[in-house]
Amino acid sequence: MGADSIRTLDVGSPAGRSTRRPLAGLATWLFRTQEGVLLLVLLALCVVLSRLSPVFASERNVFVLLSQISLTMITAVGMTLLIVGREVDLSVGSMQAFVGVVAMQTLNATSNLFAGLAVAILAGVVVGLVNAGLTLGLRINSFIVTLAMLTILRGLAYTFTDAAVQNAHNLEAFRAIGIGFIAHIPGVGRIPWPVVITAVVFVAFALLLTRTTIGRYVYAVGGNPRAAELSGVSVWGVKTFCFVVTGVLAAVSAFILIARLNSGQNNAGFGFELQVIGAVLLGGASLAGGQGTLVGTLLAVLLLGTLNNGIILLGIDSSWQLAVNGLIILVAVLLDARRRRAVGQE
Amino acid sequence: MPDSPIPGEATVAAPVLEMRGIRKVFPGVVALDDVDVDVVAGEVHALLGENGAGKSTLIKILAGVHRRDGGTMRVAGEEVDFASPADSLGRRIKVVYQELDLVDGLSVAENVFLGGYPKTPRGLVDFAAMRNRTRELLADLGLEIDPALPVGELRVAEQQMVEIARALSRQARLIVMDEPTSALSPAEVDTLFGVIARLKSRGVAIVYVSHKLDEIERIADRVTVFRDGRRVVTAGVAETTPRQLVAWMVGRELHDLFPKSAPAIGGPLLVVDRLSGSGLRDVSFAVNAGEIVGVYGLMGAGINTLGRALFGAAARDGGSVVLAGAAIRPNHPRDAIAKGMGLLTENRKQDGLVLPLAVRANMTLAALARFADLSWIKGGAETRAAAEYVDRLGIKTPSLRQPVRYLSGGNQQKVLMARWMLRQDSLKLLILAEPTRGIDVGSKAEIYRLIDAMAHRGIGIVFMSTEIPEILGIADRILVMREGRITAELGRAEATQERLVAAAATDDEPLPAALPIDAAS
Repeated sequence: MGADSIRTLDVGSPAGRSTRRPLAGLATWLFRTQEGVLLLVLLALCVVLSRLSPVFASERNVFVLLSQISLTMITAVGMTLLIVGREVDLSVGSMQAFVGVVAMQTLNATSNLFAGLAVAILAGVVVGLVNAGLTLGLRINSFIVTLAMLTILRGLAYTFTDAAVQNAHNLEAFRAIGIGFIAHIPGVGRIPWPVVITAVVFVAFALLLTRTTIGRYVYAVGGNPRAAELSGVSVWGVKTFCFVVTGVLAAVSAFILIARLNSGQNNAGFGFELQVIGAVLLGGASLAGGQGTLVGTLLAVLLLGTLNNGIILLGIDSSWQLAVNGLIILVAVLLDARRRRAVGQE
Repeated sequence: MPDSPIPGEATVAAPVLEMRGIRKVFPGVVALDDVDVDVVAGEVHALLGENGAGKSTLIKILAGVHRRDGGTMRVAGEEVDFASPADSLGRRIKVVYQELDLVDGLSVAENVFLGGYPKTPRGLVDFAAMRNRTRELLADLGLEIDPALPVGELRVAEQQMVEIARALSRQARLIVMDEPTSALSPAEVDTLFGVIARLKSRGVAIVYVSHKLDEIERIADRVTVFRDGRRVVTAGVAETTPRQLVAWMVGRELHDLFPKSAPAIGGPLLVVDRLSGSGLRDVSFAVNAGEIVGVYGLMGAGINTLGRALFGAAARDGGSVVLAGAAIRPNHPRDAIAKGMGLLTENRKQDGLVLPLAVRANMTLAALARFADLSWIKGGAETRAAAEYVDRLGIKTPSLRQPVRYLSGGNQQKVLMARWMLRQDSLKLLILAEPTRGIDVGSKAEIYRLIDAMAHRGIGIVFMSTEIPEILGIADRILVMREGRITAELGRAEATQERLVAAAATDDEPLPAALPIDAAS
């Protein structure tokens, strides 16, 4: 059985349940699926880093790492849905700036946390709907539509403020979202709010993607939109849903970002979209649609985050981060191309 | 059975092709296992087998598309190893696939000489020589096709001839034809067989892949039967019978291809009134509950368009479609499905299957809501239903989680049948467009039985096909279409092959295309 055949989800049943020999099944999963290989590489990297740096495995560093990747991960959850559904959204980077400045301004004006959050989410919904409307209504490639949106939103953020909207409301709960801790759990440590939010988002959407009809339809629409339509699935509805989810999750991540920075900056999120899309592809999703899992995306985000963390811990010039990230994305895209070729050869 | 111990070995000529112990393994399946085939000059050697039996894999190895994992291959006595299609062409082997590799925008002559244009002394392309040579090549085949015409303007049958002429321009000694008649009218098939006879007389060897036993009877000298990736037998066609061939192919005796039971026809179900658009012209007919209405027509007569138009998946200019009293909206397949219609499209891979998804997910796609509370899928219920249909339809798959892409064509078709059967509770009318295209005999009989059973539950069936025997075998009533119109309506008792052909035939004889010869100059 090829790696591809195993990796492809029959969405809806627990992984490995049908395997008669659990150990052999586990071995195949580890070595033949994208998720398995990512897990092995991640574990290897962790072992190496904890040998090289005494700080790496410390509680503090682990939670710093997890906090750092939370923004990428939250947005990557939406992006996974979208890429599985055979669309893409390049505007999530500019949304970090646009939603950030708008939300901060709202917080300053109202001094109400929920008003700020509501405006951020509303902005995410609107951007998602506009992206969906242009892509589906005018039948323009979402790559082009969202590239335009990327520029528009960045421009709007610049017109909104010269550099940044500072925190003028001093709401305590607001800062907590970015840098606070939910509780001290004995034996584990203090868990940062962003990590908790990320976990909730991940679990909710992992269940949605694998256990609900809408999740199944996302795979069907991405795998073959014609067939899905002729089987009674609303391709418009499903794709619009994916765009809106991506917009909302990008807005949530923007909100956490302003809480962390304590200001809404108009240059926030430069290159963020590539980081997110790169992680999703590295996680095994295919731009051809119909393939990809949130577990894969999570492992890819963890791997990229750990690598960046290692670069810093080992005192390597942090300029290398970008180059290394780019290299990994290239590897991810090459793997995707190879998968597609393998399938095309049937 | 032939007299000589090794059938066909009596022929004197040295084999053009000798394949020995060929083995090919794909992830999870052994596609070919220890297969021997040899082909001698001037013979037509048919490859016969059910879907997934290994014929396609064998010709792809021959074409240099796949590399074999074991065995030896000799062409004209020399051992060869093809790493790419160019290697195969270099040994003067030409494969004519169902999807022809022609460039639509280029002329016939340019296609024939593609990759090796004749040059004038000054190094420019010699178009005059190219056209003349093309005309000669086509004339050798007994054809008159204007060499200057763009290939895109030719009929499929003529394009096929261009491919064959292209093979001859490279002195091909072996031409492989993969189901060449699947898109041809009876008259065009006759022309093709004339061409094959000429090729034979010139010593060209032909490997002919087909499901159609009558064709193999007509033109093949020897036949090699495949089953499950192995060669069952190689025999002289004259010494076999169709019944024997089917038995070899299926591995058992097949008694009743059309298990037609007495229909239980109820009241009117579907009323189509003056439906027009997408090439359809004033189509009116009705279907009763439990009735199987066959729709026959040649390629391009509009039968598949009719299926889509009924379903709201093709543009409609006028007319109405009413199912059980409810009007079906145009351009809105979901409305049709909600009102009880189902459509099995003629194009499995493009419009039917979600290739990367598993067998189970493909089966339940149209009926998923049945297995869900609100939106939450009850995995157990879904698995049980899918498993039941894998069992009932005899779908060969290693597991329910196998991506449907890895199934053979016949099994994929059964998955799509299951998709609509899983909706049986709310299904009133099922439109089947070429449900058995490219499917082997054994699976065909099973699909006919399923259709018959569905009709017995009171579901109306519209069965569209370009193949006469199955229409005659299964339909209670037959509509014949030509150029987007219904030209005849025949009851089961009065329908005959001749009547269907007469009503479907176009006025102008399709091939040979009698073009004025001076049009080329």
